[in-house]
Amino acid sequence: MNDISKISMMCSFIGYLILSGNVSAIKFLYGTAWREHPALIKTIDELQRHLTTAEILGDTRGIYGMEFLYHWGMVCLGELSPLIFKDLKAARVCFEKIKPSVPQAEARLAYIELLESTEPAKDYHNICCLEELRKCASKQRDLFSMIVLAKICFYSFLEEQQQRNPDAPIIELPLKAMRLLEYPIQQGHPVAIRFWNDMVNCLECPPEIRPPYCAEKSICQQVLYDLKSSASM
Amino acid sequence: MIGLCATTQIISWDQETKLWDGVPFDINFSQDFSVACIDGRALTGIPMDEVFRALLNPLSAPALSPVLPLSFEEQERSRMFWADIEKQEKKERKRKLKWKRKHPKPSSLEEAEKNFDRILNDLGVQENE
Repeated sequence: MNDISKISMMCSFIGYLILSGNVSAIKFLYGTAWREHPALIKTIDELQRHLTTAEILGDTRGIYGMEFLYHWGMVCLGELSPLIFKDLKAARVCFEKIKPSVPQAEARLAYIELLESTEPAKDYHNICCLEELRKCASKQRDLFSMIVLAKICFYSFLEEQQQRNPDAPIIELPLKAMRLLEYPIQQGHPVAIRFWNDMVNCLECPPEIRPPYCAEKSICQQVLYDLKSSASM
Repeated sequence: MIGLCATTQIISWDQETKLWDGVPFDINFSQDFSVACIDGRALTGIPMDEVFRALLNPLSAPALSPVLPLSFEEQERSRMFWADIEKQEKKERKRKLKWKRKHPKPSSLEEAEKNFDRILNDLGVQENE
């Protein structure tokens, strides 16, 4: 058996475990997806075909528990890697189901609402969703909410820049986005570190005045396991 | 539109080739795992930790670089960098306030902007909470 067959077999087994509601397997997949191992990305892709909203909603036997749904929802949000398809419908169903017992679920749902919104940024409903994210970021020190707020801030900065002068080079980054990323980066959150480096890559200025890249060596996988339940608070 | 950040997530050429590398992997969840063996060991008998470790560091693949702690100089540089950003942001806030005082807007629009700014601004408040 060569390495590819072995890896295929292991990933298939992990996928099988996940389909049976195994929490360690889903946590492993969630915690390692940022590494973008092709076999794991392919496993996620396959799982998204099998573990759909219908499967989750139709789970009357309680195969998929709170911890499982939280991590599968986080995988489906697709923030760990651009190679992961953003299955917002599945993510929404997961977070809806655990909303009563997981304080961060409201913020995740608010983020999904924002992603699906076609209204202008300052629309009332969007402001309410941003407020939900803000609350989660400040009161619960939720790293994911800080990162998505930074992303929203950066994309609205790009949009404004585009409207003002589409040909102007980007020579500075929005300070708010930078500040929002500070704590998640210090904690070693892989999504924050990657996003920071993506922002720095957008800059069209001499390297001497460009902010430094964040080394991936400071990534700490453990910070991804951030599930809080109402019982633990 | 905020939803823009969903649509801008486009797979780049580099990333797409990474996916191609994954093509030979044959992922099939419906096999009979009770008879599956790896190196003569029953797959279901291998501890999960071992499966996970083997997946991330297969023998023939280059090992993933170890996560090294930041050196003292790196930590210091990072601290100075963030302190500088904080200073700049404070300055920008002051500049904005001055500008707003000089160029008042009709109240409803001003309120909407204030709400939006407050939300994005909030990390400073968070530290005091």
